[in-house]
Amino acid sequence: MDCAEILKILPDYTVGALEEHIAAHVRAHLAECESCRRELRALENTGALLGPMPAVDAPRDLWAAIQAQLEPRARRKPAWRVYWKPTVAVAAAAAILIAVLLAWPLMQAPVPLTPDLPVLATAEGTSYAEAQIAGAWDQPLADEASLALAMAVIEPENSGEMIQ
Amino acid sequence: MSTEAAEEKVVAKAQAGDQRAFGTLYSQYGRVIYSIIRHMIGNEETAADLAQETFIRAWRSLPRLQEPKAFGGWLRMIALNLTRDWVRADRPTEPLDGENDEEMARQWADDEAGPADRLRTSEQQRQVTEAVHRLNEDQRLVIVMHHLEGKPVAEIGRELGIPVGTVLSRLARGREALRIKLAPYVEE
Repeated sequence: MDCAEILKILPDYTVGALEEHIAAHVRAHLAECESCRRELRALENTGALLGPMPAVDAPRDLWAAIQAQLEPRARRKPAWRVYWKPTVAVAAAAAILIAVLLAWPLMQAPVPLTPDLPVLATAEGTSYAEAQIAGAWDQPLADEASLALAMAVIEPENSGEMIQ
Repeated sequence: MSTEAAEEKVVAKAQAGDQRAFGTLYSQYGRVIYSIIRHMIGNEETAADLAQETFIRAWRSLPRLQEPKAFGGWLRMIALNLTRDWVRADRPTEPLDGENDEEMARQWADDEAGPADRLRTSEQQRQVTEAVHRLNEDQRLVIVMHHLEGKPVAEIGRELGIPVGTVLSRLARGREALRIKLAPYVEE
């Protein structure tokens, strides 16, 4: 190892970070090189310059001064409690939006008035609705008043006979 | 329960808003935090103010601490950053004063022939403090814990949750950087 290589790893050597076989090479080089020994002393002096610091007691009233300035902190809520309210609000908003989107075409289409509804014709020349009302008339529990009203809407001129 | 596990529980309680748990953490770290700041700026009153600010900031930021076991290193970094900011606000490091400083001076005096002897002037102390502050955070923290607090590398590794090899590497790089910055005081 030459001086450049030694100087590169000398800081690691001073803190004992080198593997033993590498440290042995460094030791052998240092034994013969005054320049590198000088650098080693400078690194060791740096460590000595830094400390150790004497540990000193903090002022007695320091904790009281700190404590007086600690704002109370709300205890942390579980994640589900933090997030459930916004989640429900978003879900509700989404549901309303979907409902509006689905209903929109229905709200926009013109609703035909009852007289314009197509009436299916039967083979005998009577309408489908007339045939249904006539069939229902003979049922034991038929609501004759409602059926007569329906017939009056479909065929006003014949409805008087059925009601009588 | 190990000391580390017990401390993690206390940190977790403090994170949840328990001021008594935070008081326990102060009991454990108040002295060392005050000592680091006091050593770096050389004034009792300012050191007390900065130590107070360190713990208040820690309390406010505590819920955001991801690793409760890293509390000690995290707290030291708050103190070191506050000290750095204070020093860089163009305020000179003050000369030694009071009883504690006499204790410090006695320590320096024990090493009459060594480089520590040259630290007696406030300007030299300011240079060392500034050089330490110029290190990157990882190196600064390890340098302070090892050289100032006198902690063994294995203990630093445990406290910071990093391998011993990483501690040694940061120590070596930090010392290398300081050796360059403090050349006038360390070269023979």
